Amino acid sequence: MQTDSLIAIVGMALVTYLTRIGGPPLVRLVRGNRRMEACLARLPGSILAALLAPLVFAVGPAEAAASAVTLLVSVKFRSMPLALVAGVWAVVIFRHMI
Amino acid sequence: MKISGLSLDSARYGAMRSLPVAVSVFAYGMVYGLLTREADLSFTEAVLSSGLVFAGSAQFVALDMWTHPLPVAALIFTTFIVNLRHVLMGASLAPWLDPLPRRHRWPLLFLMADETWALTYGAIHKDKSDMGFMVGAGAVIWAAWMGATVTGRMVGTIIPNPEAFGLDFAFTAVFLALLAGLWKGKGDIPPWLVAATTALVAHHFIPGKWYIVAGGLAGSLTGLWGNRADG
Repeated sequence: MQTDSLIAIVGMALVTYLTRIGGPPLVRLVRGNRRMEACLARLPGSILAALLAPLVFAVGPAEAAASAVTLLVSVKFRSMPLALVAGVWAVVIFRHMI
Repeated sequence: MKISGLSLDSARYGAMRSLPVAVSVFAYGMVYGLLTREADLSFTEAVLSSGLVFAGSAQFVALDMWTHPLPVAALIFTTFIVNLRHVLMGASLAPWLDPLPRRHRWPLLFLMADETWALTYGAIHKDKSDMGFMVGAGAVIWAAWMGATVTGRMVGTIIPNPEAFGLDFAFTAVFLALLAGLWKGKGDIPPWLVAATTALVAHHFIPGKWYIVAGGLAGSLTGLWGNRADG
């Protein structure tokens, strides 16, 4: 293995680790500020919504329809594994139909 | 109330909860392992990437850039940008991470990938477990990603196609179920709507994973307005 490969991979691992441990110290900077804490409370849902938006709306009609099925199942049965199975089945079926 | 600590029970629960997701992670890890061969990574380089970097999207992007002489600085910088979303994810777990001693917190955060974060937050904010959840879930996801990289690399000739089994949709389904679990009431509509809209626009115009950072920040900043009344 060449040195530049090793430097690249270790460097990539290091900056990735920095992003993983960087969150909590940043939160400590804004602690006690009520407005910032209101923002932090909305962060998890916002990250998930942002992560999901293109996956749901920008891939295709089969994915959008299967997302609706997944959401219905998870709201009705409150079970993540069941929602996962339903969603995966739905997307396979919709892809054949559409 | 917030449960802090690292219990074995939670680790076991986390490992169980992440098994269905691990199947999809494995499928994508096989594709990654296979592509490392085509991108001319050595076996050691592939294994070190999955084991140490352990960040799927960044690793796929790096494959595209893997031409000798290696653009080392560009590879490291791109990886950093692609993974910036972890900062937001770690921030959301701060209330549960801060009570942990550093010798636990820092190794634990090595395991925080998108899926691990989402599953952990989903369980921990409902007081169903402590941060031990991330140990179990993280270990299972890491093992799946590593095992799949090696498998994909060795099998080589068989091209797995996760899309054919709908496995690419598994991530979407898991994130959707977790978002449904976060629902507390109408107050969630403005941040989620702003986050999703911003993400769609960013996704359209900016390459890479900036849309998660942009949408996540925009959605959470709606907190500046909403809380004035009770502030």
